[in-house]
Amino acid sequence: MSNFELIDNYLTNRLNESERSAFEQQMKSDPALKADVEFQASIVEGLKKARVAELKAMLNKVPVNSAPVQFSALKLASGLVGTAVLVSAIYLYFKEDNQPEVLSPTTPIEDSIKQREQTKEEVKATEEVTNEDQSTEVNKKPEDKKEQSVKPAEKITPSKNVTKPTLDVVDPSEDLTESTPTRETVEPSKPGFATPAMEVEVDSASKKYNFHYQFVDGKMILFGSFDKSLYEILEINGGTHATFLFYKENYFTLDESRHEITPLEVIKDKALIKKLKEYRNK
Amino acid sequence: MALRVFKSNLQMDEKEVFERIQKGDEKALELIYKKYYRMMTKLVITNSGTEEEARDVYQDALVVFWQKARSGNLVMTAKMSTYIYSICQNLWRKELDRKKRLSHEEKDGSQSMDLDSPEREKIIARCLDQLGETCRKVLMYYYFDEMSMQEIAEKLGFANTDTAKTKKYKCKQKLDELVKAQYSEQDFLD
Repeated sequence: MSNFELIDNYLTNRLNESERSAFEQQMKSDPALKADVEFQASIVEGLKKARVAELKAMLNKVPVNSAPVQFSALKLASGLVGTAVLVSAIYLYFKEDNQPEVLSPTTPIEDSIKQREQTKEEVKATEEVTNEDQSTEVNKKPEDKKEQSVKPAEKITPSKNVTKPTLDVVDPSEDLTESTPTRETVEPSKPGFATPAMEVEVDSASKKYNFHYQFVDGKMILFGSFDKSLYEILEINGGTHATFLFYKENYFTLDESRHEITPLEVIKDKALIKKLKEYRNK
Repeated sequence: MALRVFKSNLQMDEKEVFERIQKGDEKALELIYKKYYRMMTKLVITNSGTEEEARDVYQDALVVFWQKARSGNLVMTAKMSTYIYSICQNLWRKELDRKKRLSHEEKDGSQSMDLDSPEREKIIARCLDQLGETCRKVLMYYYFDEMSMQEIAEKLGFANTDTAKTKKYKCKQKLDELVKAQYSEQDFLD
């Protein structure tokens, strides 16, 4: 090997153990060689840095997600940072050691976008039907709806992928108020947050279930494109235990006894929303 | 049960994408970047980082991942996302430490910034630009991606490994000359 080759191989870790130590010995007795190696090392270092910069520039050009969704989610996220209580209180998707348990699309990555588009269309198709459901629901449980204005469906759910609430609405405020006689007397300080031990998985591949959830063996599975936007799981441990999902400015009931796949239902009870907001911002 | 099906499909995709990265397919890296962008940047953003810092850390992590995968020393025992996530964690932790140290140093008034090395990097980057695309690629593939001559020949369409070897030698000599000229110019100015 020529010196040039030797230096190159030394600097790129292409020498074996004995060659390496021999070369290091040689450097010790030859200051000129040592100086040359140092010069070469600085060039190799610069080359590597240039390559890193090149790769990063390449990645910078890659469009990531849809800008508006991303922006709002990031803004939300940065707004959350800083409140220590919140960090411990809210199970943000990532846990330190339990890493991204994301079940991802069955199709190759390139195809998943197409698939999502399809899903959107499906949802649109069901929209009308569910709107009707909503009005029947209002008739059915008038006492629950007194304090809430029934907003047009579009407003309630900004996400295109959101399935509109269906008939069977579970009123989660019951869970919160169980220990106290009336809703009004619930002290916001009473239920406390615990660091949730809940495991969450996201399945964004299912076409049939595009905004659903399920509890299996103490683990929650979210169906839908939850990887697109930030979501939070709120666990409230007061006299009773209640779990909620916060996603795209809406709160949803999570019933831990639901072992079958259940559509996510937006919470419309204003008093409850107010309370949940308070907990989130604590 | 359907979930299990998804999972095995996912692993198949993972394997394929990982193999493409190992082979130096930059498109595969872009795919990964896109796929985990939100997931990874969230880690930094929820740990008192800005969006920009998050992107920077994520990109650095992917470059580390790329280099490790390319070198062939990386055996995937977990998901790629798990691995990349842990790199992000480490990088962000280091960055937070650095920030903390920096703010302490400012208070103490002791500045220990090495201005020499970024300057040198700039010179080398400039010289690399003068070399032309093929030389740049050969050198980067050899020194950073640590590709073999065989791989470089295949990737850049050289007739054989000897051509690649000669090309690397000539390009490196040229770069050395350019850098040396720049260095002495720099010395002269100083």
